[in-house]
Amino acid sequence: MRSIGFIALALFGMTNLSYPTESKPLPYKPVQEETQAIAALEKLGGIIRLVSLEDKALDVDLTGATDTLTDEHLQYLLVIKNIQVLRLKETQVTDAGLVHIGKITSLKRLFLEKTRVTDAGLVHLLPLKELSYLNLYGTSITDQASETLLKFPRLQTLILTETQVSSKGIQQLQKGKTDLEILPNLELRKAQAEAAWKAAQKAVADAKADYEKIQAEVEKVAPEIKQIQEEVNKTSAEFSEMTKKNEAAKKELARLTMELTQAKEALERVQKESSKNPQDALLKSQFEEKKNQYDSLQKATTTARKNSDMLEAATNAAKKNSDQAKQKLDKLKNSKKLTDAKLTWETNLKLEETTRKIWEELNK
Amino acid sequence: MNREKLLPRRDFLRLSAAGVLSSVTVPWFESLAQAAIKQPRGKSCILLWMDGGPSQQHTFDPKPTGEFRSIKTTVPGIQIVEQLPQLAQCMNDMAILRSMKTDINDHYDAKYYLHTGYRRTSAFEHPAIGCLASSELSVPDQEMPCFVTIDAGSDKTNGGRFYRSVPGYVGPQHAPLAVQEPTKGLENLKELGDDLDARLELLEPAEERFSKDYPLGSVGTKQSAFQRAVRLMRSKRAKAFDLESEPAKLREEYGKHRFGQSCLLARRLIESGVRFVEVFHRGWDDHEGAAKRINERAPWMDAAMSALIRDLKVRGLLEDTLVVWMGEFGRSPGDGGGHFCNAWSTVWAGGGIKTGQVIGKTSETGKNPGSTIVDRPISAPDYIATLCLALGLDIHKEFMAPGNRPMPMVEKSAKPIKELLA
Repeated sequence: MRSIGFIALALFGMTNLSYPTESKPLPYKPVQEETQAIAALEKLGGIIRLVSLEDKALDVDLTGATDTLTDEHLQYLLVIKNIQVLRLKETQVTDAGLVHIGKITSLKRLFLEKTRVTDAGLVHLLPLKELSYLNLYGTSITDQASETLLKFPRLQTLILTETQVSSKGIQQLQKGKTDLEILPNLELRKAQAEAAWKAAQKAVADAKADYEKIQAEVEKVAPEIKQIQEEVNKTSAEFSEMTKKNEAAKKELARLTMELTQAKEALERVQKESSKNPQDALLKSQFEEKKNQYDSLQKATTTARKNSDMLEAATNAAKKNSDQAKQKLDKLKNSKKLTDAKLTWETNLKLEETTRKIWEELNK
Repeated sequence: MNREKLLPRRDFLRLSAAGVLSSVTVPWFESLAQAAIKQPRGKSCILLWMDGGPSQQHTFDPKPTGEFRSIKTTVPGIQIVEQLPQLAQCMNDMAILRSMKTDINDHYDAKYYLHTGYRRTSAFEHPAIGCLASSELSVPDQEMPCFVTIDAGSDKTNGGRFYRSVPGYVGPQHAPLAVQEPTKGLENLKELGDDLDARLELLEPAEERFSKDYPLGSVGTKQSAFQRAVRLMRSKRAKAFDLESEPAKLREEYGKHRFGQSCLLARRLIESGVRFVEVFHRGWDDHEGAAKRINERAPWMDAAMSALIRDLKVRGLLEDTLVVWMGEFGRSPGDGGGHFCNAWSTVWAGGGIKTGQVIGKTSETGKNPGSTIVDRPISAPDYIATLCLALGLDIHKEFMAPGNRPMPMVEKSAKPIKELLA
């Protein structure tokens, strides 16, 4: 039982029950072996993985080492082969650290968001001939860095959002390297915002035209609508009246049917008595009376049934007429189409307002 | 065991209610942590789940005979409905998959199918894509949860039973953390009182002894879930859950609607290390016709989704983040009144995939345009396989399902959409 417990504890490697505590500073100690360097970086809070399953190059994520990583520690990277991606967002790296990074010749993507690097430090990165992506989001890079930035031969994507680089500076940079994607691209953003606004404006116009067209069609047939409305009213009233008559006839039929049943029972009773006492003249005359009553009731019931059936048919016909008239009216009035068109128009108005506000904000 | 010194039940319940602790369903065996160097970094994912089945003809696959007009996008030849003007300007960073063909028109079964790539069985639960991503891309002892879901609200109560992402045989530690209201952040993240350290110290020997006496999977699960909760409470990264620190202008750009704020929160979570965020909005099961409903939704969806794509791009995050927009099926061509799994659309953006294109094609002519696929049908296994590959996962990897059944990540017959992957 004990051994199983130990095995279980070993298996539940995660339950080493260490709650997070304050991180202690770990000084840089030069190492020779790649495995030692990786271990050291992991101790600092780094995560080293493959870029992808096909690409055995390395993605080094040091964003977990914001408290522990110093420029010195970056020297560990120089012992590790084939580092393609390096993530340093919000770490303590400075221009001094960029000196070490500049020696990672395999580096293709470098993330330096919200770090303390400056224009001067970027020069140290120039040996990175393979660098295709550089993220300087939220750093204090200025227009002065343009010259350096244009010197990276393979740079394809450059993020300068929330830096001190002016929009003029970005424009100059773009002129210097047309195939480089620089963000933020204010000109492109403005063009997109304008296109969206224009599209929304056209949509409003189209929707308005659509709505008015349907409305006009409806208006064109206004006299017909009036006529059909009257027909609807008339047929509706007829249907109501017929329904009432139908109800009454049904009630009458039900009443007569019940009376007939009672009369039949009475007749059968007397008949039974009479056949037991065939000589009894009183019973015979009672039988005659009941039979007459029954016969006349039967006639009345048959008439009532005929009447009821007729009224039922008439009511159904009246309903059909009423429904047809209503359908005709609906079609002429085009209510559903009109409401849908109105809603599309209102939606496009909302979109026009939103896209206009965005465009105005960008062109302030 | 000194019971009085164990953590009071109220704290356990609080953390449980916050969705931080996962419930134990299937026994699992924790594998020894792989050497980090073998693991791919992969991509992050923001899944925008439109629950109920959004109408493709009223969004991303309009027809000339349809109820909505279409507009040009930034890519010549590709048009979407006029009610999505800002998204039309993001077409270079998007890909529209118009030939989804997924056989299942029943809500819950379809949601299961489109989350897992497997048909629902009564034998066991397959892991949802978010849980798969967590299982393959998470790092031991990471501070932020790997998979988070955000409830973006609903505009109608419909769409069948809600599907909750289940980790199944990849292990309960990969169940998602659930955020309810994005503007409220994560509940119960702050410590009650200032003696948590002291209490945790008291707890430690008791927990250690307990796991020795009862070496069960569920004990390990509970203890590790508890540690993750404490780690999250203590983590500086947890401020990612707080939208208040975002500039008002940006919050406005995403839109005041709950969906917009959910998208903004998703971006923050991705930045802080979460690898898979699923934002779900319910109510898209428009049986009375899609026109009215999608007219009402278009403004906030257009604003939020385009803001998200632009924001990720301008921060340099779009290449590493795949954005996916989808539901469990589409809707009938024409008025969008019924469920329609035969030909529908999903949209992908960013993530390093080949954007600015349409994959597949639905019919343009005939009595019912859009009712059939004329080019490149995409099955659910094809779809999930492509999604896994796009995120950097190994689709040939096998897991052990209950009954000692080896289960590959996706069905072996799946054909990934090579035209999408870089």
